[in-house]
Amino acid sequence: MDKQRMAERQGSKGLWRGIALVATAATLLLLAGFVYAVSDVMGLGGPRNTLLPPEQTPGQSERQELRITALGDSLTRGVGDANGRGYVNLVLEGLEEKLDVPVRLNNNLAVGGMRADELADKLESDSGYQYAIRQADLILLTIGGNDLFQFARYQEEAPSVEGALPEGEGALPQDSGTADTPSVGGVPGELSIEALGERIETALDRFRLVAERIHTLNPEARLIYVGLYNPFYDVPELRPASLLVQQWNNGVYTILQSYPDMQMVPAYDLFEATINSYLSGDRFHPNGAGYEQIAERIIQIIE
Amino acid sequence: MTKQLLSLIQNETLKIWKKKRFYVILIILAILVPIFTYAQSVMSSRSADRFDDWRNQLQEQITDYENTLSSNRIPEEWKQFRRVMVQQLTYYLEQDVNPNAPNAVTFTRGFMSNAVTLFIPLMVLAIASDLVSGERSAGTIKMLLTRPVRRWKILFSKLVALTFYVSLTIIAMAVICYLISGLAFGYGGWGLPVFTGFVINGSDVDTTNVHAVPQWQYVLMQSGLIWFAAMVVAMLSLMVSVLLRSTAASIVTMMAAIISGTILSNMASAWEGAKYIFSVNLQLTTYLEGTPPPIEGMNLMFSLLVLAAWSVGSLVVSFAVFTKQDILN
Repeated sequence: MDKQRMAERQGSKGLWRGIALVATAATLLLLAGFVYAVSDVMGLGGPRNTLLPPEQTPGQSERQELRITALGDSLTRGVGDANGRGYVNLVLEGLEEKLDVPVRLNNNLAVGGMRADELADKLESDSGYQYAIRQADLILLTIGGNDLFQFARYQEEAPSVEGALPEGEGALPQDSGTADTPSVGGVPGELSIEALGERIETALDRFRLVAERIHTLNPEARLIYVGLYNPFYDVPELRPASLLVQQWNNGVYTILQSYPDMQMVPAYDLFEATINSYLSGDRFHPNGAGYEQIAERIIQIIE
Repeated sequence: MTKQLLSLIQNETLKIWKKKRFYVILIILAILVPIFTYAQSVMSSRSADRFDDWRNQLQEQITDYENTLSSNRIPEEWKQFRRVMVQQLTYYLEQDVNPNAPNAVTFTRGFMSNAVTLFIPLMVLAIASDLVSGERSAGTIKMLLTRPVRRWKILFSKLVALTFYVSLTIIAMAVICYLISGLAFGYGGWGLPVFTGFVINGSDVDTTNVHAVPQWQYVLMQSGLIWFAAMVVAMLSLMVSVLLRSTAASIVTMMAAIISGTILSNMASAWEGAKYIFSVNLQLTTYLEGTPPPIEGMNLMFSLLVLAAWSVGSLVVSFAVFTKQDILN
């Protein structure tokens, strides 16, 4: 009896030693970590490790697949499509079927409300954008709608949100020096047709920059730009905006012509007589069927 | 004198061990960690299908943040968080470092940093809540207090034993995370650089102080901060356990305090006074990560001071009450 008790005692003594040893070591380790963390956050730590210069990002390599990078504004994001697919995903599926090669979406970098000047800035400064473009075989782009219509949409008080943000609210660092800030909240009725006309020239300059930068980043990739349409075609007073939209499309076409691998697919005709079938509830973006048509056009010109 | 104290500590340590609470903690971890590991591996294999390059994935994440930023529906406080995240992720991208490289150390880092506000406090409560109230409901407190030992020594030995188990819990958590997630992600990642030192001013991130530390060092720092937070919870629950007779009541009280802190830091970031509540300050790891604190104007020193004040206060109350209290029935 006594022996058993002794053994038990001995056992718990060993257990205690074990726990005490491990626990003390753990406490000391954690305490050291704590002190280290506090001194590091407070900036008391010794010399900072100098950061390595970023590696050169590898360019395209030989691949058996088609890589797509999508850029631009809410159209490329797919706003308005109730299924959330947008034309980009439809193009992806369609091309896979048509070409019978794996098609991969590198990235969809579109941001709702993006303007051409913002995109040009991103292309210049954002290494993620540069990386995604360098890797692409095919670049899908929509841009310019917000440069032209931001003001108009604001006046219309379109129910959807993006793009209608007051300037400066957006996430993107804005270069207020070059961007001519659209005057928000003009007199209703005096719609922006005149303003649109003035805006086109500035916007085309920005677009020229976008095309140039994409070409510099990846001269081999093919770029397909989806042309603008007049989302207000069915508003009688705003129908003349279609002419200005054509002026824009014309300008863009001229710019794209100077590069060997840049093309435009038109979309304006979809949103004229059939505007109600292809425009979504916000009266600005295409709906699912509209995106399907746009995707169809892109697929048509790729072989 | 010290011998007596030492044997008291030994006694308390063994008592906690015999209660098998620590086993329970280990078992809970051994069940939970595989679940999270599985979820994580499903996610990373899915994104590996979509992106064969983490840079594209990271850029997509940035774009997603930017897209939600342009929505009017998102409250301004959330936008601020996203703006900071955009800048941080962009920094990683520019330095060509993958912040989410899947490996066991990254998993451990992520798990621990998410566990600091709720999970770890819960584990601490499992051990601390019945330290005194349990003796009372079992009636053993009379035996304890009738021995010729000063009362403060008894409470002090309980505190030391509690500290032991808090440290063991945190280390055990890190080890279990590492061992189990390593099966899925591989045991590498020790030397992976992690950036720390982001300074947040409003929605701008100052990167002048940013420096890279190897991930193991980062995990060590993070564990140290978690340990501090866990110790504060331990001392508070010791106090509650002295004050309340019933163990259940003391667990519920502490849980309510901790959970309300989590809710407050998610909801009431406009109410400045909330920053003096201990549970709002528990997430010390945010200062290491450089994510915005729950309430603007909080920084590491502030949180440490608040937490230290709470724990000193709770120790004073615990010792004062425990040494004076009459034991009836």
